[in-house]
Amino acid sequence: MGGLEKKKYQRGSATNYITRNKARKKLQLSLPDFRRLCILKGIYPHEPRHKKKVNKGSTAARTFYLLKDIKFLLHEPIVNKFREYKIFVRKLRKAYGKSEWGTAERLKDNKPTYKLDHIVKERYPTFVDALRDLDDALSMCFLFSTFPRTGKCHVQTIQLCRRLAVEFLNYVIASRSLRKVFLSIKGIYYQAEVLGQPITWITPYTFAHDHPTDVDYRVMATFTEFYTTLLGFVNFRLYHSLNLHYPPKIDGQAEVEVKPAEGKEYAMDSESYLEKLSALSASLARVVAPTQEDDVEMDEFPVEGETAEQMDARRKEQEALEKHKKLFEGLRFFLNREVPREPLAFVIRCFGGQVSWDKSLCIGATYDVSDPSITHQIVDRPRVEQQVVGRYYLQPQWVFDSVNAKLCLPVADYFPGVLLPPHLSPFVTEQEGDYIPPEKLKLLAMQRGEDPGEETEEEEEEEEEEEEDDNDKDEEEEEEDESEKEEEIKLKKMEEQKAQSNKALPVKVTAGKVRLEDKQRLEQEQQSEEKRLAIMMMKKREKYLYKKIMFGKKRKIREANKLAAKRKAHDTALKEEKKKTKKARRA
Amino acid sequence: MPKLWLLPYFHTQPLGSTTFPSPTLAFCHSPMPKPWTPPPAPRRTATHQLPLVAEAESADLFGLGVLGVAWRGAAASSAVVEESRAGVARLPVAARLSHQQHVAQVGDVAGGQAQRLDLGQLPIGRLGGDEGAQRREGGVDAVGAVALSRVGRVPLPGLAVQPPGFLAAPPLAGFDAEAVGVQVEGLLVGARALAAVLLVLRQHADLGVQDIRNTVGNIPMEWYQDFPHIGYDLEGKRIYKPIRNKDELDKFLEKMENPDYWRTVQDKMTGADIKLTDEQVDLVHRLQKGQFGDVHFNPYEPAIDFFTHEVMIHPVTNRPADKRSFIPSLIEKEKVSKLVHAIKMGWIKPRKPKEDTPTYYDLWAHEDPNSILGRHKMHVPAPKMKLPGHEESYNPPPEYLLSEEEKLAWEQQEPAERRLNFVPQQYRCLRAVPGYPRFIHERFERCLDLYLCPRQRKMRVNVDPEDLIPKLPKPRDLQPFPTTQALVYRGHSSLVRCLSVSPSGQWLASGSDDGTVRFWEVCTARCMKTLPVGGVVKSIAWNPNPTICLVAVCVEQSVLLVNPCLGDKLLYGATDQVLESYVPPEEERVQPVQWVTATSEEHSRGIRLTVQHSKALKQVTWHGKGDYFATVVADNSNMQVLIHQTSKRWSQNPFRKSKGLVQCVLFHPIRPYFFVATQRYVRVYNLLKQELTKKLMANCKWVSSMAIHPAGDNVICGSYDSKLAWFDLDLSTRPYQLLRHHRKALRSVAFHKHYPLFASGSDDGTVIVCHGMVYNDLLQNPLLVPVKVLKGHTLTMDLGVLDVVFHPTQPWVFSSGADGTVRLYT
Repeated sequence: MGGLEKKKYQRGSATNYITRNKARKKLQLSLPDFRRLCILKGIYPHEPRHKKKVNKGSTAARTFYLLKDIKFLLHEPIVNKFREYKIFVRKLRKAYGKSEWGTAERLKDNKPTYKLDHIVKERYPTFVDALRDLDDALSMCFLFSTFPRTGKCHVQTIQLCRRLAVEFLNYVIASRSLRKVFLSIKGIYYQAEVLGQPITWITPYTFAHDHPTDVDYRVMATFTEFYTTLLGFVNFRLYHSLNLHYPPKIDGQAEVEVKPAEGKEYAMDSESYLEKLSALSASLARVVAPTQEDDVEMDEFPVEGETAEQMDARRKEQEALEKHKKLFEGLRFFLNREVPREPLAFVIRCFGGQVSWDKSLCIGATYDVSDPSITHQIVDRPRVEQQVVGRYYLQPQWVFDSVNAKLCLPVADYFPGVLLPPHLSPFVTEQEGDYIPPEKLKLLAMQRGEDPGEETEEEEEEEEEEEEDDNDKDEEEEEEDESEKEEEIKLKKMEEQKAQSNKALPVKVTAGKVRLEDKQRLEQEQQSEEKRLAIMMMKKREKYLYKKIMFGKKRKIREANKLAAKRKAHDTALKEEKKKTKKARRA
Repeated sequence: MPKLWLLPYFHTQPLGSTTFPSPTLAFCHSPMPKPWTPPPAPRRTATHQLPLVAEAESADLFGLGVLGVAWRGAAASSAVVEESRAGVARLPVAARLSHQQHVAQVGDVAGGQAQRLDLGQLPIGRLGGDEGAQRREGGVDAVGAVALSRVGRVPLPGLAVQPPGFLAAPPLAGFDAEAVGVQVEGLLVGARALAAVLLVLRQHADLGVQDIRNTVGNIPMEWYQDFPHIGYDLEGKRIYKPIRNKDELDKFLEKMENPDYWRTVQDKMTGADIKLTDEQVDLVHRLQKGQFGDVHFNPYEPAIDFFTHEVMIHPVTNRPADKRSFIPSLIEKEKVSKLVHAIKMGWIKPRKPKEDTPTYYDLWAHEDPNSILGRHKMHVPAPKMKLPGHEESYNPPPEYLLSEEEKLAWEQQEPAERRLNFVPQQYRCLRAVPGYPRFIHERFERCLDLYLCPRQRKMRVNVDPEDLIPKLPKPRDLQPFPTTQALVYRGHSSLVRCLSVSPSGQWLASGSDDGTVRFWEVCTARCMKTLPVGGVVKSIAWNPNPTICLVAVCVEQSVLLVNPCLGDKLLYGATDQVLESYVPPEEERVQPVQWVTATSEEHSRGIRLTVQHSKALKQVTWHGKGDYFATVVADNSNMQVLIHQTSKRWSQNPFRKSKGLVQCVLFHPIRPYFFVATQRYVRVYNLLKQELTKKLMANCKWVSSMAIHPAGDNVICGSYDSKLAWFDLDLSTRPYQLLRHHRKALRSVAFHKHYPLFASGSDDGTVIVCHGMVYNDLLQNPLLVPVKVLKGHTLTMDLGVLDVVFHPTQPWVFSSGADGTVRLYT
C-alpha cells in the first residue's frame, strides 16, 4: 500500500472548471464588472458533463466556467481599466462629498475610457466571422436607435446606434443585398445577403416603448457597447468593399440640392446630415467615380464533378437573383404620409425603385405627389379621394409581398380598402409532409410561370353560379314535374305487364358479383405486418429512438392535418357567407 | 430709587452690575404713583412668578419712558434703534425686556421693512387674544393704541432728528401726571411678527380706590381654583374672587337678556367680568383676520431701496486706494512662474481634446491565419434566433389564428411551456398594427441567453427510421406456419386452462375450470367425450408413447390417469391390459403418494388410476418414453416435485431440499435430464448422475412456463413480466435472446416437434408464432424471427390465452383461452 494518497477532486474534470464566484475572485472584479467582461469577451458558462464530480460532490446549482477561459480573461487589458474606473468613481464621490468642484471637474476630464477594437478583432479573426454574428448586433442597434433620448441610456449611445444603423441600411441599398422582408406582429424582419452570409435583423415598429421594469438595461447597454464597435468596423469594411466613402457622403448632386437655403432651418449641420442620410433617398458618393458599369462578367469555372445540369441550375439561379435585384427598376413610388416611410423607402430603394414622399413629412423628398411619372402610390387608408389616372394606388403589403415573391404581384388584390391576401413568411421552407397554405401554393405556381390561381377562383365562382342556377331551375321544374309523374306511372304499369310475361320462365340466373381482391391492399397489409413484426425484433435502444422519431413525425402530421382542417372549415364558412350575401343581394 | 427695589426681584437671575441705565437712553421717569413700600415679609417663594412680577412692575415703571422711546425711535433712523438696542444691553433685565418690546415695535413701525424682530426674546402671548384686551370696571381708554397710531402716522424716512423738547413732551399731555397710573396691561404679538401693544391706562378718579393688580404673574390660573382668593395685590394681600353665585339658570338668563353678553369676558387674573369696548372688539376682529392691529397702518408702503442696483458714480467712501492694489503681487508672480516652469518642463500638459465619436478603420486589413487561436476552434457560436413562421405575420392565413379554446389553453400554459411566445393576431391593414409590447423583453432575453447559457454541441440523430428496423428474412420465406384461425372448439363453460394433443394428432384433450375434461376430434372440432372430474383441471398431458392411449389429468390433489377410449380399439384395449397387468410387489413400500385403482363406476367413465397427493397439484408432465411422469405440488417444501412410474405404480421424491417455488418441470426429450423451473432460474439435473448440471438465469422476475426444443439443446422460458427468454444450452446459462413481443404476461410457450416453430400465448389475447431455426452447425446461432401474430381470443377477466400447444405433425397451433374456447390456427 505504498504511494501518495490520491486526493479527490484534484485531477480530472474538477480542475477544468471554476465556479463563477471563484472566477470573480481570481479576477478581483465585482459581479457587475465580471458580467461586463464576460459579455464583452464573449465568455459563456459551460455545463460539465459530470456536474457532481466538478462540484466536488455537491449537487447545488452552480454556474461553471472553463478555467482556461478565466485564465484567458486574466490577460485582458480592459480588466485594468475596470479597476481604474472603480477608483475614478471612488475619487469622484469623495470630491463631491467634500464639495471640491474643481477636483471633480478635473477627475471627470480624466475619466478612464477603454476601446474594444482589439476584442472585436480577437473574437472575430476574419471578417466573415463578424458577419455571421451580425444578427444580434443589428437588432440591438435598431432597437436602441428607437429609444427616447431621456434616461435608460446615454444619448451618445442612442445617436451612435442610429448612425450605424442608418449607415448599414445605406450599404444594403447601395449593394442591393436585401433578400427578404417580413411584416410580423413583433416588428419588421429583414434578411440581407452580405458576402454570401444571410444576415437577419428585426426592427420594431416606430412607437414609443413602454419601458419594462424587469429588464436590466445595464446588460443591454454593455452588449450595445460591443455591438456598436463591431458594427462600426463592419460598416467601414463594407463601405470600402463597395468603394464608398466612410463615413458616408451623399452623392454630389443630391447634396447641392438639399443644402443651400434649407441648411439654416436645421439645428446643426451634422444632425441634418444624418437626417438626410436616414431619409435613404439619396445615393452615396463613391471614392472613385464609377466610369463605366462595374458589372464585370464573371468568368465561370466549372467545378470538378459538377454536371452540366448543375451548372445550368446555378446559372439560372444567378439570373433569377439579378432579376430580383432589379425588381422595382424603373418604377416610381410615392409614399402617402400614413405609411411607415423608412421601411418602405428602404425596401423600394433596395430593389432599384425611386421613392418620394410629401415634403413636409421628411427631408429628402425628390418629387411631388402631382408628378405624372409616378407609377405606384402607396396608400394605407380605406379609400383615396382624388385619384390620379395613370398610377396604381396600393397598400404597403404589395411591396413586401412582391419582394418575397421575387416578382411584381398582380395589383388587384392590394387596392386600398380591399381585404388583403395573407402575408406569408418568406423564411419558411416547407418540407415534405409539412402543411403548405394554399396561398403559398398559388405563389409557387405563379413563380413557376403558371397562372392557375385566378382561373380556379373564377371557375369556382362560375360553378357556384351554375349550382345556384340549377337550384332555380329545380324550383321552376317542380310545376312541370307533376304532369310528368302521371306519364311515368303509366309507363311503369306497362313495364310491369312485360315483366309478368317474362316470369313464365322457372329458372332465373343472377349474375354473380365479382369480389375483387384488392391485391395492392393485401400486399400493403402484408408489408405493414412484416414491418410490425420486424419492429418487435428491434433492440431496446433502437426501438426507443425509433419510437421517438415516429412520435415527432406523427405530431407533425397531426399538426399539419389540424391546420388543413381549420382552413377547410374557414373556407366553407366563407363560401356560405358569400352565397348568403349574394342571395340577399338578389332578393 | 428704582434700583433699590428692583434688586430683590432678580435674585434668580444674576445681574452683572447694579448701575443704572446708560445715559444714552433718555427715560422720562415719571414719578411713582405711590411711595415704595417694601414687599411683605412672607414673600411667595414660587420663583417662577418673580421675574414676571418684576416685569410688570418695570413696565409700569417705565411705561411712559417706553412710549418716549417709541416716539424717538419712530422719529430716528434705524441706526438709532440699533443704538438704543445696544444701550438696552446694559439695562436691568426687566427694563430691557419691556424696552425690547418697544424697540421691536419701533423698528417695525419705523422702517416698515425693518423686520428684524427677535421673537424669541419677546414674551409672546402674555395676554394673548381676547384676554389681552382686558377691561376694568370704570372707564378705560386705549391710550396706548392712540399713541401708537400717532406714531404710525409719522412720516418715516428722511426725517430730521426730533428736537429734544419734543421728546420730553409726554404724549399724554392732557393727563395729570400724578393722576395717571400707567399700567401696561399686555403685549400682543401677532403671527406675522408684528407686535401691538395695548396699553390700557386706568384712570383712577380718586386716590381712595386701591390698586387691585394681581401679582401672581403668568401662571395657570387654575392653580387658584380651589382657593377663595385669586392672587395677591402689591401689598401682598389676597385678592378675593368676586362672589359668583350665578347658577346655570342665571347664566342663561343673562345670556338671553344681556345684549352685551357676547362681548363680556372674564379676567382671569381678577375674576372680574369685563365688557369689551367697540374699539377692542374691532381690534380683536382685525387680529383674528390676521390684519394689523392699527387701522391706519399701511403694510404696503412703497419700498425704498437704500442701496440700489444702479452703479453710483461716486464712491461711497472717500478713502484713497491701497498701495498694494496697484503693485503686482509677488506671491502670484511666484505661482505663475512655477506653472510656467512646469509647462516648460512638460510636467503640465494641455488637456487632450475629448473624442466623442469613435474612429473606425479596416480592422480586418490583414487577416492573419495565426490569429485564429485554438479557442476559436473550441468556440461554440451562439445559435441564431429562430426565424418567424407564417403565424407571426401581421396578416396570417386564417388557419394560423388560434381558436377560442386554443387561446384559453395558451393563456393557462406556463410561459416557458408555450410553443409560441405570442398569440397570432390578424390586422386589417399595416396601419392598424400596434407596437409589440414585449420587444425589449425579447431582446433582453436574447442577451441573457448569450452570456448566461452554457453552450454545447449536441449531435442530432439524423437517422432514417426505416434504417433502424432490422433486416429479417421475410416470413413468406419461412413458411409453413399457422396463419389463420381455422376452427373453434366450443363447449367449455369456463376458462380452459390446459390442452394436450394425442401423439397421433387426431385427438385433443382440454381441461377447464368448469370441472370437466373434454376430448375433441381435431379435424372436425367435435367434442367426442366429456369427462366430469369434479374439480378444476390444472394440467393435462397425453402420454407421448403412441402405443399407449392414456391421459394424465391434474385435479386438485390427485392425478387421474384416464383412458379416453378413442381411436383404435386395439390400442386403447392394449393400454387397459398394460395397466391391469400390474402386480403389486410383495412388500409395501413407503410412498409419498397413494396409488388407487379406479372403482367400476370410475372405470366406466375412463378413469383407470388415481394418484393421490397430500397437497394440491400444479402440473403433470410425461417422460418421452411414456412410463414416467412428474408432478408439481403447490407447496414450498422439498416435496414439490415427484416422479412417478406408471408401470410399477411407484413414486419418489427426487429432491432433498427445496430450491424455491417450482413453477414447472420438464423431462429432456432424449437424454436423462430433468428441468426444474423456479421463479427465476431453471435448473437442469442429470437424473442418472443425480446432480445439478446447469442453472439457467432467466433474467426475468417470475417464470411462468417452459418448453424444450425437440433436439434438446434449446429452452424457452415465458415469464409473467411479458418476456420470453431463449436459452442456448451450449452457449451460456444466460438467455441467448430476450424477446419482448407480448404486451402482457406470458402464460405458456410451446415448441413444434418437427417444424422450427415456437409459439407463446399471453394475457393480451394473442399467440405469437416465431420461427426458431436451430442449426446443426454449432457455430451458427439460432435464428429467431417472429412470423405471425394470431388473434382471436377475447379477453375475459383480464386473461387471454392460457395454453398453447402445437399439433404433433402439422404446422398447426392450438390455443385455449379464458373465453372458454379452444382455437386451431392453421
